[in-house]
Amino acid sequence: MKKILTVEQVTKTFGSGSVAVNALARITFDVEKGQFVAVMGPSGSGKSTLLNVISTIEPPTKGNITVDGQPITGCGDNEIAVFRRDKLGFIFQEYNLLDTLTVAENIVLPLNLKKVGPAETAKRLADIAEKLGVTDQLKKYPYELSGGQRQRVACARAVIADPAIVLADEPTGALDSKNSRNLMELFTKMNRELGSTILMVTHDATVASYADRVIFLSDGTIHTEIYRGERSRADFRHEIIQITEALGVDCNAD
Amino acid sequence: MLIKLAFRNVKRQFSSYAIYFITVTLTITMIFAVNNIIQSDIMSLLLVAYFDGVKDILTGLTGLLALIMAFVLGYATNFLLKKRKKEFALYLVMGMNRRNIIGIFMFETALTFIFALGAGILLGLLFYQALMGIFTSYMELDYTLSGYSPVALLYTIIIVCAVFLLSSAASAGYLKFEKISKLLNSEKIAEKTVRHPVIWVLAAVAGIAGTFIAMSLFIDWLNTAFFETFYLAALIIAFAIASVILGSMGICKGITWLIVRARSGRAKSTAMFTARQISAGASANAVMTGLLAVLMSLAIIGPNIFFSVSDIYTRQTNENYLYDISGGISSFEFGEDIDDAAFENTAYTYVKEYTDKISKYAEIEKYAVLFVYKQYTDPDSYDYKTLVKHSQFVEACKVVGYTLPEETGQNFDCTTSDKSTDPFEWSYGLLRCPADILLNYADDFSVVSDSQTDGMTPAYGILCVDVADEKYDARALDAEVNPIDDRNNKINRLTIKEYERLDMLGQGGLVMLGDLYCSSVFLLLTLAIFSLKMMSTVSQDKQKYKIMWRLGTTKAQLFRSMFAQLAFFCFLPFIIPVLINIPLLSIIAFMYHGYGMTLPGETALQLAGYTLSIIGVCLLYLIAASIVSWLDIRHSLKEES
Repeated sequence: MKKILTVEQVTKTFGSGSVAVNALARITFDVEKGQFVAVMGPSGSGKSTLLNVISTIEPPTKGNITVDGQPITGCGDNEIAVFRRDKLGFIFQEYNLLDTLTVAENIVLPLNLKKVGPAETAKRLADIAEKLGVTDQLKKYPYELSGGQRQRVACARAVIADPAIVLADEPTGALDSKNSRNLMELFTKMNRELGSTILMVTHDATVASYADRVIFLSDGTIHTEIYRGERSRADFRHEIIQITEALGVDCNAD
Repeated sequence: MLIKLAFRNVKRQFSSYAIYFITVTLTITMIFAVNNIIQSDIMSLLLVAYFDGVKDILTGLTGLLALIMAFVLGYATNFLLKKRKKEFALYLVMGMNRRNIIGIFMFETALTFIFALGAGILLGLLFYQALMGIFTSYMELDYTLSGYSPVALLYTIIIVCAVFLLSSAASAGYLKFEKISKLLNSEKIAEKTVRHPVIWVLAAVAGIAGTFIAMSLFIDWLNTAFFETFYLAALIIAFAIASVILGSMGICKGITWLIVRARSGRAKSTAMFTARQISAGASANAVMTGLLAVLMSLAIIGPNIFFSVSDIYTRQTNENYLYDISGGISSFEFGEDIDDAAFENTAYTYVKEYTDKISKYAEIEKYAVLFVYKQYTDPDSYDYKTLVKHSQFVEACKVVGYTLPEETGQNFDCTTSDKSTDPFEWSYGLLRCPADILLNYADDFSVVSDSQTDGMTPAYGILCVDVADEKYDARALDAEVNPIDDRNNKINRLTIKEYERLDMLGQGGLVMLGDLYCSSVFLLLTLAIFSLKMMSTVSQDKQKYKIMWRLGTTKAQLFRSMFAQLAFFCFLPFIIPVLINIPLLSIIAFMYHGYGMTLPGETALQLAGYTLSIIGVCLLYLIAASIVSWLDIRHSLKEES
């Protein structure tokens, strides 16, 4: 399988001298094309820092990261922006939709940035809206939608430009359990039907159990990682809870 | 502890406080400069010379400026409050009491205000000199560094402190009574979309058409009902203002919607984001934009009308006065029973006295004395012919640069035309002379050979003088030859063309001062609100820029989008004021026509130049606002990373 993401010996240090803190310490792992990976860990374990480093929002102190064969360390501002535009899709906890744009305009924003033509844009919008069930909402504005609907729109925006990898930062953080479940089913659909590669940070064991693989971080290092394989989601969830309890994490295992 | 917190807040909220500081500083600059002008020596002289009531009007205008300042300061304070509501709510949640919060906010704003007061007064000193420079240059007075007035300083401090305390009290009241939940959720107000956009498009068209119609009605009013039905003019002006506001609101809510609609589905890069941002912002600020458009229209119309009036005055002076200096010498001054020789001798004594006085101020190129005789056709009636001596008439013509042809002989009839600028013209043996050749004594007269007046006593004499200097101290000459008598009446012996021109300029100067004042205030107010609005908008939109950046928008694209939005808001209120120049040109043409003149070609250039200079000032503001806003956005992007 093709490696979409390669993280090699990545270290991220905040501060310097005696007050230096290693948020990430020599982390190494790969994500293959089509994988759905969850990252878990206690607060301060480095989950969000890892996501920020991969998404180029923060540069790593040491180490190399490659996305879809393109190294992202040592790039200039513009190259990084183009990289984010072409290779990454984002889903945030707070949806981060632009409230001045309609749902349709929010979804096609990555295509606009890539300067895709109107006909192709319209075709892809119709396609993705239908697959993710937001066709009825296209003409509305974000403030007219519920939280769950907004996150669906954010998912559509994240995958419409067919990015190499979708990065999700606590995507269910602002949703209730029913909407969280719906969203994770949507993630599974995106992963299986659209072939999206997903890297998701969460502290919720149930949410993580939808993934194929869970990486556990502790003190900036990979504590362990587990694969779901052929197991049922309930079994996989049970194992996740065991590990998180061992790590001393409140994992919302409702 | 609270003071420390306040100091730290001012430091951390530098960009917000910078805008507050600049706005307050500029307002104080304006008030201080105008107060100094009102108290200046030149103003006192002008007021004595022309119209005492003007001082009351100017003082009233200072009151108006104070009101405007209260509005600007209130707006600026509200801008700061809006940005800090959540922070204050958190202080309250953490257990701080409202008195402490009000104390912190008051201390922060007072600290900034004190610095702004100092900076405003320093800038005001310079601005006052610049205004006086323009004013004295226009009035053709010698410019010396004008003295500052302690009274003006005191008035300024009293006015601005009172306004500051008033706006502080309003903010304190808000912080005292507003619910914590409202303070906490103030940022979560969703932007509304435009309702009935098609109607707003029609409103834009109607507003622009209404503005043109109003100005055309105004021309009609000038033409037919001027000085009669002022209520009609007030109605027309109200209609014009309503049209400008409606047009601007229509552009904000309708035309921007059309732009978005045209872009929809075909937008590339950040175009749709920019268009939607503009549409949302324009829609939310439609009423304010309309009001700013009215202010800008007034700022453009006022000076243009004034400068045209000033030009008309100058031209009119040339048409009204043929000689550089002239004066009549009446037989009444010498008594009725004076003979020819005695009249002439006495008259020349006066001429000598006058020319000596004139020579003290200007070099006399040429002068002539013209005696006018009355020849009664019937001793029992009052019908008479007006006669002048040929030799004296020849000299008088030379004073205005006309040489009589020799073949005309010594006896011919003359008539006068309407204007002093008209040329001498021969027609069938009759000479048409420019108006005022005999001052106001006769329209028709006969030039006769000198011998024909032998034995006649002149009815009056005319002194006409051509001076070499174009500019001289005509005010001082007037004061010397036309003194004020014991009853405080001016004794008019000589008419000095240059003095009359300066006198007209003096009256215009007062209008100019008021006009410069109002235009500056309008411009200042508009720009202050612009900058606050821009900063406020960008500040609220920082999260959107962060999202766009995360989605892969380059910083250059973000800057272009931000600049386009700022530029749109900066120039939106100018659309109608710039269009107003078209009917304004017609109004000015009408004014010239009313005085029997044709519109000079340079007037259109004057309109364009003045409008461009106002736009230039706004461009500077736009650049400054763009730099400050971009630094703010970049800072937030850095915080993100």
